[in-house]
Amino acid sequence: MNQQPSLARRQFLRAAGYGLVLPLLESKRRHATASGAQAPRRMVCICRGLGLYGPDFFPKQAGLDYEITPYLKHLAAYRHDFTIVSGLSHPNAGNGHAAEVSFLTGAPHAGSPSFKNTVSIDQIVAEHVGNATRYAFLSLATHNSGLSATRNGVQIPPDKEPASIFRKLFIQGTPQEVREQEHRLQRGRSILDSVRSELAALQDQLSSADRDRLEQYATAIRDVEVRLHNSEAWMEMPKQRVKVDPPGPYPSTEDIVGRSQMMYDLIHLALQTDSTRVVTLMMDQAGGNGVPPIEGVSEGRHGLSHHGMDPAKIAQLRAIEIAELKIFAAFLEKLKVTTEDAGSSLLDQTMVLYGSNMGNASSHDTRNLPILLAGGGFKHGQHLAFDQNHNVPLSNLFASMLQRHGLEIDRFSSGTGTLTGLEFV
Amino acid sequence: MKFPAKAKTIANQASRFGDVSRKHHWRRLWTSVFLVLLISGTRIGGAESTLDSWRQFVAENCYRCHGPETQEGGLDLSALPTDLKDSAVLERWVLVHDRVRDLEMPPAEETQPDSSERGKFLEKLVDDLNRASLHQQQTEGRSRARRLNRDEYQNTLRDLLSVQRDYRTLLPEDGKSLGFDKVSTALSLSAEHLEAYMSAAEAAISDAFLPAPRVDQRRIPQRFEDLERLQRIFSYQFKTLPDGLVFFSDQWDNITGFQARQPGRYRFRVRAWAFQSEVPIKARFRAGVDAEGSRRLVSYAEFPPEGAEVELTTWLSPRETLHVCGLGIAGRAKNLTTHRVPLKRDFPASKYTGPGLALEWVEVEGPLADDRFRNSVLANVDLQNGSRVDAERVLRRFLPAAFRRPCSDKELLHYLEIFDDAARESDFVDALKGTLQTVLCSPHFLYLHSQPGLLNSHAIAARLSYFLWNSMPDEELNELASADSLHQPETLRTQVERMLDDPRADAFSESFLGQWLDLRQINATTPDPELYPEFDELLEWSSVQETRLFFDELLENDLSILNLVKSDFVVINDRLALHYDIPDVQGIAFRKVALPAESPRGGLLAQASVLKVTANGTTSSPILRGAWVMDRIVGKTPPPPPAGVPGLEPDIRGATSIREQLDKHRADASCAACHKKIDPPGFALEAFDVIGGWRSQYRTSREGAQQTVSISMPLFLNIRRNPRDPASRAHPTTTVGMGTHVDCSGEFDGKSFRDLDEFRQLLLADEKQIARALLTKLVIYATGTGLQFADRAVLDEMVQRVQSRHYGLRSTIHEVVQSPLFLNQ
Repeated sequence: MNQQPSLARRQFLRAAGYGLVLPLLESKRRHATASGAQAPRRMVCICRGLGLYGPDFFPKQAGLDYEITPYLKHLAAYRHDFTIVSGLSHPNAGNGHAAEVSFLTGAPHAGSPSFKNTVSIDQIVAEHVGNATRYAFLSLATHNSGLSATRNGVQIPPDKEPASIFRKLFIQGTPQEVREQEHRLQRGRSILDSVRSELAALQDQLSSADRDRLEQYATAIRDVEVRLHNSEAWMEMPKQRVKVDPPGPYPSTEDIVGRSQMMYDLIHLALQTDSTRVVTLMMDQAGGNGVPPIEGVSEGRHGLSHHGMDPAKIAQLRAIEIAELKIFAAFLEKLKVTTEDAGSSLLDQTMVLYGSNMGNASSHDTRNLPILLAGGGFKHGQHLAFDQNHNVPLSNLFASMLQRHGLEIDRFSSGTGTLTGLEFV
Repeated sequence: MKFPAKAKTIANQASRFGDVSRKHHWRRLWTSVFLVLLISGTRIGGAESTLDSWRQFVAENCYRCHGPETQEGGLDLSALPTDLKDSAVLERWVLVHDRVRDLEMPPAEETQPDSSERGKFLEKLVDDLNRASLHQQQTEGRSRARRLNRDEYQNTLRDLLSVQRDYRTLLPEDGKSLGFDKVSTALSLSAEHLEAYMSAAEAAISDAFLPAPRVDQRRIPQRFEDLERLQRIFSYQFKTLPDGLVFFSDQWDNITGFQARQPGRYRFRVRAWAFQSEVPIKARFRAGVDAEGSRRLVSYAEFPPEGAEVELTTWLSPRETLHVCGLGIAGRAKNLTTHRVPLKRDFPASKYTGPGLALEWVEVEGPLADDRFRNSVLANVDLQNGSRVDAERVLRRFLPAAFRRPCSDKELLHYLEIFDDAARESDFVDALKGTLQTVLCSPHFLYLHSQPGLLNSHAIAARLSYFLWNSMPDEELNELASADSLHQPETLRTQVERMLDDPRADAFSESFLGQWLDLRQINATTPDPELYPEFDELLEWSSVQETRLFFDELLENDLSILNLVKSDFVVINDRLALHYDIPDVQGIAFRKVALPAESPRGGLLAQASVLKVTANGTTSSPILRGAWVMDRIVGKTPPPPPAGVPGLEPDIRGATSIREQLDKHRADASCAACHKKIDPPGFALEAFDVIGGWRSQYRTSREGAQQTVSISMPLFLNIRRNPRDPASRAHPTTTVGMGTHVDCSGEFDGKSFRDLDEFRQLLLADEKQIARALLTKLVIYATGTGLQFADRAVLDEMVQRVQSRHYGLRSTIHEVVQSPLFLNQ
């Protein structure tokens, strides 16, 4: 590759602030750009497990001219790049932290003894993206479980270690590792062959109800086969190389800001290099009991979320949440200044959902969720206010996002349609 | 019996199940008869079709609100099909039955059917429902095939391959259904799982083939000079003694001079004593990498002034070490510190007179070798120059163990072919590993499955071992299964006795109690340090130990399960004794203590663990605690909260009590209908705060407090009596704010109670209800499926028999294992 980078490419490099080294091979995306197609659409969904203090987050007025709130002040520079939505929730989400797992799925009654989850929105998009990127999706978490769930409602184990995420995205294996990986894929196929024939024989012996259950197994075999095939295709393509040092030591568990910062940086890199187009990030979960290293904070994050209206606790809660919003603002900034080859900013092409499964964490209330949607080709800048007492399904917003991504669906999960008032650019 | 089912004896039911299994053609005959009847439009049962008569009752009494015209709650009974072989339809009719039986429907304000009419209707409905449910069990099996859950998978790998790493972290989290991760519907399988199983199998097989580790065994005298890193910075916190090293600070865990080179289980023995202290000093042991973040709690121990040796076993990864930390000595941790002595450079350790934890030596042995896999499956196989004959020998040993049953020649051949294929491209050991990895991805390994009807001996062995050990059957069970003797009640009884006495039964109490009582959630919340300054990690750890040891006490001595509601003893250590205000309990060891007459403790509902997991760390909600008690102890699971109703907003500013807020809530008739059943147990439990302390007033933030009171800090109990240290003479106290008074009264089952004790009396008035609730949880846990209509009569019989055994817990376990519910698929 000895040709001069194009102007757009130079801008891209400068704006990224990361000094991206050109990929050795032209990616499919570059190829698409050259033939005049548009830059791809992307999606990032971020959930904060312990809510956001509502009175400081939600604007009092609806529409474009809402008065900026103490929390949104820290995002004011991007006011025209995001929409605040109030009056949203998942119907019958049930009270409590259990509803974390249904934030992106909308499945009712999380935490009830026989709860069964359903597919999360990111997985539908990931299916759509398919083999176009090295990873169809990334599911990340700073602490415990992640947000993504498969078609049959299985929680996908998230990636939690920045160093291994970085390795997965950008580090080319040694020849030895590559050989091992090839060997593994080969063995994988042999395992699937064996399991398939055993399963077929077993099915004959089972009752019809059990046959139905084992059908999941057969489906899983087919899915893994496709994945093996995809990994093989991508194995021949060198990974994107970035001139960034691998992440340093991961901050300790109570440093929620430090941890999310590292995740934001990785998400930005992953999108910028088109290693994936779909990312979910779960952060700030219940059980995070340590005291965050933030000025003025002396109690654990989870305890503070149960503030019981005590002003001293609320003050500490604010300090933490503002620190978190500030790094989220920095993330939006990075997306905004990163220009894609097609000339648009990464933020224009990336829907960023930021919200929580908790409306009021103090009472474990899962109605009136704090929801912010940035970028991704919507007309932004307003506060869409729905009824506080008769919430609109959050899945309506998800349906809008899926449509924006180019999927032909009318509604998602417990939704009734798309979100009224949210328009495409 | 509450409903007019025809009581069937257990023996009867068992043999009926048995017939179906043994005479396979019978089942097919049954099915074809059934089909013929269906086609001819008549129901099973032949001549006297009862369908019309119960349909008529429903039309007369229910359609007005749940009919074609009006559908209250969205329910139209006229549109509900009557084809009871559809399990969803069957479940709906069971609900109808229950509402009518419990006199909830028609509602009190509507015209009531006369009672003989109601009785006749119920009798016929029960007959039909029972028959349909039984038929379903006979043709499809009572329970479904299910895969192993993560814990079962982990323990099975441990027992099968003699490996000990934690492979659970590689697998997706399991779902739960009916409260347990044992239920088929919760254990789905997706590509994520299959990929994870493939990697976990690769890792485990690779570990199993590692050469036997070189065991490191030595005694490490504790000397200051060995702690170079610490020496430079924190020399003022340590002092070298002629026979050891003393730590004066609990600021961090101190290493014991050992670092694991190989992964595995290590046994430690530690000799230490309480230095400059007249009372024992407690110590916390944790495992982790020195100078790096996260550590796992291994255990707590206690060392008297005269010294003691403590033995601990823990898993270590490379670079990890065992850390020890004296508790209640000087330090900065707010709740753990007794001595606020400024330990600084200008205050040398040599002049310090406060207590410290002195270590004399640490002995370490590990990795503890477990050669069973090498000595059995791989015995006499040359891994370097193995042949196909060797591979066959390995597979003949491995397959039956992995599949929990004898394997067929066809299966053996199948895996030999896989070996042959692999051997063409790689060496013997690699091909063999690949083959065994494939076995671990097989449905026969990953799934527990059986044909409908009576379980065969091997399936009984597996059901038993996953019930009581959360793992695969051992050799003895396998031998009994091969001899086909597990159908004999006496053999079963002997095996259950043996299994309960085996250390592997710890997995039963961890998993069953962990889920039934939510003990696994114990650290989901951290109590508010301002409201509950006396809370500490030792209390949290002790509270879980208490519940498990209490349950073990009942199990070991076959004590009555009514003790779960109220017992006249507790199983506690000194930390809990302080928390529970029970005198004369010294030391960290747990022991059975008779309760003083006036103590509110005794039984699960007064245990700190249960009270903590049912609260949120700051406040308790009678609704949540009430619903918990109704589901877990009473066995009546309340419906989920209705949509669109906000939760109560907790307010710790002191002005209003939760009770006042709730009363407002309950003033609404539509709320009250359910909440009058859900909340009362929660009212009774208001006597305890979020960490399980007894209270008569709510604690509030100090600003809004009506008064403040001073409470003692536990500080691991080794203070007060150290006269040489002025800083430790006074028992440290702190103040908390107090607000409104607690009101524990309520109404349960139509009778009012004033306090917790009266509530427990009301609960105990229906002993069988308590037994039925526990039996139900145990049956779900053991068989992986919920109670079905046909099981009700069986369960009633079981309750009866448990009653005749004075409700002994061990007898209850035997009853579960001997029941047709357990012995049939």
